[in-house]
Amino acid sequence: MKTILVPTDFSEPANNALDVAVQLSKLLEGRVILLNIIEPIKSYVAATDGMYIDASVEQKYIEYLKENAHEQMKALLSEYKGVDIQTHVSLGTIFSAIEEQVASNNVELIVMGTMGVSGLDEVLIGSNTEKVVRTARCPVLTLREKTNLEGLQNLLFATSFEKSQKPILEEVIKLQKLLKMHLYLLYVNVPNNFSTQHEATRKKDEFIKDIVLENYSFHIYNELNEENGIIYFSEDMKIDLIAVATHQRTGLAHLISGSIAEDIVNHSKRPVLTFGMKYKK
Amino acid sequence: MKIKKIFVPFDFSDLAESALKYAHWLAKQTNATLCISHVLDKEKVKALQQLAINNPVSAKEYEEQFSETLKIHLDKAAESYAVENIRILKSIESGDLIETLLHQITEQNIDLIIMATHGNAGMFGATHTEQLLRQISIPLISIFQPYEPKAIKKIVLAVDINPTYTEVYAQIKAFQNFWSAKLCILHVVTPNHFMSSKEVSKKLERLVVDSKFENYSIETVNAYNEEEGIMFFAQKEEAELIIMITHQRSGLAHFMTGSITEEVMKQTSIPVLALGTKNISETSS
Repeated sequence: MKTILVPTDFSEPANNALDVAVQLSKLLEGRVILLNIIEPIKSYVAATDGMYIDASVEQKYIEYLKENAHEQMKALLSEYKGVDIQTHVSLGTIFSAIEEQVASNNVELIVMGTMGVSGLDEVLIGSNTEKVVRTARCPVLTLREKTNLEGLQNLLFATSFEKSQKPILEEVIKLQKLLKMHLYLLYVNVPNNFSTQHEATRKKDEFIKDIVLENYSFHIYNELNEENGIIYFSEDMKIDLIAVATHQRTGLAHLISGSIAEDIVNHSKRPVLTFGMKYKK
Repeated sequence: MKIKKIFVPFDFSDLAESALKYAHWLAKQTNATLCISHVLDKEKVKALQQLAINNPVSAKEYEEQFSETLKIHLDKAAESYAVENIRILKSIESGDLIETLLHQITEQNIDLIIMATHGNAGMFGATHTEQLLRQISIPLISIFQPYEPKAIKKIVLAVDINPTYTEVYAQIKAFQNFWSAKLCILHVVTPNHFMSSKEVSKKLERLVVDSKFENYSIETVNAYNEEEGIMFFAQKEEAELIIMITHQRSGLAHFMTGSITEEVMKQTSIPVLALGTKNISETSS
């Protein structure tokens, strides 16, 4: 049974994510878990002026949030009759709540809404979605706008053709078949890591050697960095869904070198499907 | 496309035969006259004479005899191409190779040169094709490997993004239209001159607007140098002709920067049509 997890904060992107998850669950004959996460207040309080809050007040507030969440979820569920959707309200941080769900319910895909983020916030804090992408043990589909899966035609898999990404291509192909899309295999050529046409083509041939590919095309795009290459190419070719692997670097490593996938999640207007390297199938 | 006289420098090599075959094929389509020219290099004659030390014949007589033999051979070579009403003019002259050829080209009002490129010029020297290329103001097609002429369906036009040669575009269009071929406009991106795909598209689109090309496609190829990119692409696309615009630099300027056109000519198996920027004035209609 395929399980799709949808973390929600009841924002519009989150509602759009639930809608897509429902569409997918119908195609895969799976179920959806709708999850709202309440983060402990103490963390907020510590950030202000250290005012002591009575434990009972906090307890009442959490009860209020829980009730509110259940109400909103009920309203959402009424729109999706006949679909297997479980609701859950968790206390804790976003990552721990999600990781718990993924582990205990054998979640195969997370679908999340993202508002995107930019500027200093992006550098220091990142969006919640970005954090999930970085730590999740399963693929994460992020999106902003309402999306009709049937209308999607062009799927992009941007890759460096490293051997470790082969299993990811196989998953992408499953998605391609499921949604009946054309697959664009893209190699972004950057000045710091210049590859000739010949070399890139050879890497691609080696990469897809034992894999059966249909309805696909191979492209090389030049740009100063990979993220912009993927985004500009997506605009030019009218890509509907971008699939990309992420290295899931954390801490200092991430601060210094960033991540292509997370940048795209933050800046793309289109749905993005990320596969973490911690992800093993 | 006005091609009335096609000039073929001929040195009796197999490659020259191939060039002559190509010229003949072209002459049939354009109804042009074939002007086959052999230039007897005085230096070569002297060298040959040195070998025949015991031969009592004088230098002048030797040259005359040699000329006669050559004439017979040239007649024989041209024989098979004299069919199908193709006019052939043959000439054998002696003197400095390049000067003589240039003189003949001007005198005979040649429209197009088709020449075999031997590629054995050494590091500091230049092939005959290269030397000729730097001084002519008409198109030249170079044949480097034996090539079976076939209908031209795809032309690769290798362009430099920066300068614009609007006058030469009219000539290119004339060639393209004559064969109703597709024009693949190619720009090669190298590590030293990196350009994003966006930039290349923008500049090439502008080129297309300026030139008013039709039935074309815009391509970018990444390679370590331009010649490699051009050949990789032309071979992959199985193009029948490569068109290149050459700056016709000579002297030190050329030695330092080299010429991409000439490099491609010495390596590719596909005929290369070079249009010099000196070409500009006369043949623009």
